[in-house]
Amino acid sequence: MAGGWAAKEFSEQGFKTLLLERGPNVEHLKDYPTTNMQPWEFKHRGQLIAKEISDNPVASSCYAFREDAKHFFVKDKEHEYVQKKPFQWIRGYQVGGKSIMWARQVQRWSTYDFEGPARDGFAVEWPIGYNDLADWYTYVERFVGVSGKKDGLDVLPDGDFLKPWETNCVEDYFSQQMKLHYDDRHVIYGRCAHLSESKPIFIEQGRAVCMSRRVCQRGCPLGGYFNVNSTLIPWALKTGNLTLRPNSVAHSILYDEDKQKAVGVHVVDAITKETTEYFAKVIFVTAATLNTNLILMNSKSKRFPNGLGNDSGVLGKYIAFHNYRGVINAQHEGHANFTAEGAKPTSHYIPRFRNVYRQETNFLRGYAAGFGARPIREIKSDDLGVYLKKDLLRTKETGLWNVNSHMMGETIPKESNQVSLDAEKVDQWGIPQLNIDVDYDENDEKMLQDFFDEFTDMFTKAGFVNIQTQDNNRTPGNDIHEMGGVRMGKDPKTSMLNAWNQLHHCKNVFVTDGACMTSTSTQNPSLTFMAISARAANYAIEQLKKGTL
Amino acid sequence: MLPYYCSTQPERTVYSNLPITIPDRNLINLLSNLILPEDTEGFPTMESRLDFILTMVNDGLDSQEISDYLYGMEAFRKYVIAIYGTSFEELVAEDQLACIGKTIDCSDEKSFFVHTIKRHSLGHFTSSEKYMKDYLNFEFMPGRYYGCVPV
Repeated sequence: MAGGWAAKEFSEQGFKTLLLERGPNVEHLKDYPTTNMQPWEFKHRGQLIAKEISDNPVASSCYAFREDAKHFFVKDKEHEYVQKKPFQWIRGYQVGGKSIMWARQVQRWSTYDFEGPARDGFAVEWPIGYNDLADWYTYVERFVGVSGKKDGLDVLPDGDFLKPWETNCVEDYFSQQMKLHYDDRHVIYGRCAHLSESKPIFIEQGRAVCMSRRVCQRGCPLGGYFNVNSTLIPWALKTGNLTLRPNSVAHSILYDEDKQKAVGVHVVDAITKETTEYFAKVIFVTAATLNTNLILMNSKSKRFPNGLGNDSGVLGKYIAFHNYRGVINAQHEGHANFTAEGAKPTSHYIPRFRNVYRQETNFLRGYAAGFGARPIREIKSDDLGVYLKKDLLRTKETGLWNVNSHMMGETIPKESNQVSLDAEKVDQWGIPQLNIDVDYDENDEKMLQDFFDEFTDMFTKAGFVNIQTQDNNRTPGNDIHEMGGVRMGKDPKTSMLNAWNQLHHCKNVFVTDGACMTSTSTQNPSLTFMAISARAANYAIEQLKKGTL
Repeated sequence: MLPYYCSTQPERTVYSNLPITIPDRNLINLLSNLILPEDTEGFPTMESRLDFILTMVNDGLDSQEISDYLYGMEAFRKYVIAIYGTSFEELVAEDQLACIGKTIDCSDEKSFFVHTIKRHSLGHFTSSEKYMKDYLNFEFMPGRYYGCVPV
């Protein structure tokens, strides 16, 4: 997404732009092979076969790696890496990357999120705050299309929203109950990157309103949700200024010792293994967090023997992610005479309420949570023969609702959570494999327990029954929200990037994907990556026009 | 007609991980239809029930599970002969269903065999277009959401 935004901004403003993608092209509409398949048309009804699971312990751990979308994921053997500690690196190598299969939740950060490191004394201070990004959030939202409700919350600023889908009666009930019992716990509509209504900008993009198919991971023939393939790429191509080069593995960035700046990119063809050098005035490195780290670490020169721009020695360090280990399930008996009909592409969201205004727990920061409620349909299947068939045909609504929530916890960036180039192993393109050394810590364990305690209380207060908590023991990486390693900061001695996402020590190289994140907060991060990218690209364009880059 | 035990050669089929004979297929098909009678007219599907079950066993189980499945099939046959003194195929329908009922809830290899057939029989039926649309209210493109509909 970050790369797509940079490509759009540059090409739209008249700059000849080259977009390198290590995987194959995925053209909107043409390359969504399963998009219109009905559930009964899949040979295995959506399930993976045993060999796919045994061959892909990492990829198959992802909820979306299923029969209908597995072709969009990197298979384990295709690009190996070293797990110093268990880390499930979920990747999508194709034009559009993971934007094809993403979860489409787009919540803004707030002032309280950006001020976290400085207030609580971890990582380094962010060089930007909410006010620096607010207009860029709006800019991005207007192009992406975000369905949402204006909630007026300082912990989760409102955006430029399209109309929301209807909520259901149990979501509304829980929201009301939380208002009765708490001042600080808001159960709100989850803002999502789906077109709930049409506008001229979306018609111009060639996108139609979302029909709630709920198979977005296959690619949407309507363009009903935002992915790069249906929006940014065709938009940029339309300008005539974008050259898209798929199957181009970025090996390293070329640094000119005389000019004291980066001058291009060394590329290996993913298929033929031929090498090529491309040259540019400005380079945006947006290979998705960990590969961005890898490229910079592999960009060694006399000036930068430890990786491009890495005078501080922090490159690859302070990797963080989201703690998704907590799940709570229960049932609700109170709306037995109601059900829901149709479908919607989002559920509810509970913004962070722990340690927002002051430190108040025995752990740092906090967690947001999703919330969902669905009516339970009974399908009895205990019997045999004609009785079993009769039972199956008597399926009906039970009057009960399943309710659930899952935590999205902020993890604290620390030096020991890091990635590096493996000293021995290289990949098939001759690039050192990434060695990943990332784990949970005590803060994450305390936060998990707090989620269980607080949500058990909240569910109990709402009158839910059969409340069950579960630590799903998710391995780091499985949240697919890895961030950091090329963090922004005010001080070049402790950070890699300045407030405009330029490398402190190589100003014509920008990093605007997850690698740039100083801390993670709790929100799904893609919207923030997009806003940061658009902001940085426009800054770079200004500087190019002024001749200062 | 030859009794099933005279056919000893694995059938050459697309189920490359599953070395079974025609009598094996017939037994699986018979069990599946006793567990949940197939209704190809009322609930048509893209493939036959038997094809679906064999595909899911062939592709969905790992090598150890397939060994367990095949071992369970033989254990089931031996169990029937030990209890009823004849093969499963020769039992009357009432005894066949009673036999399935007795084995399916055990936690042994023959239960795994029968239970796997039941699971995929149910999966095949409940994922049929007719069942999904008419009984589960499945819509591919609903285009609407009403969150509070009186039952």
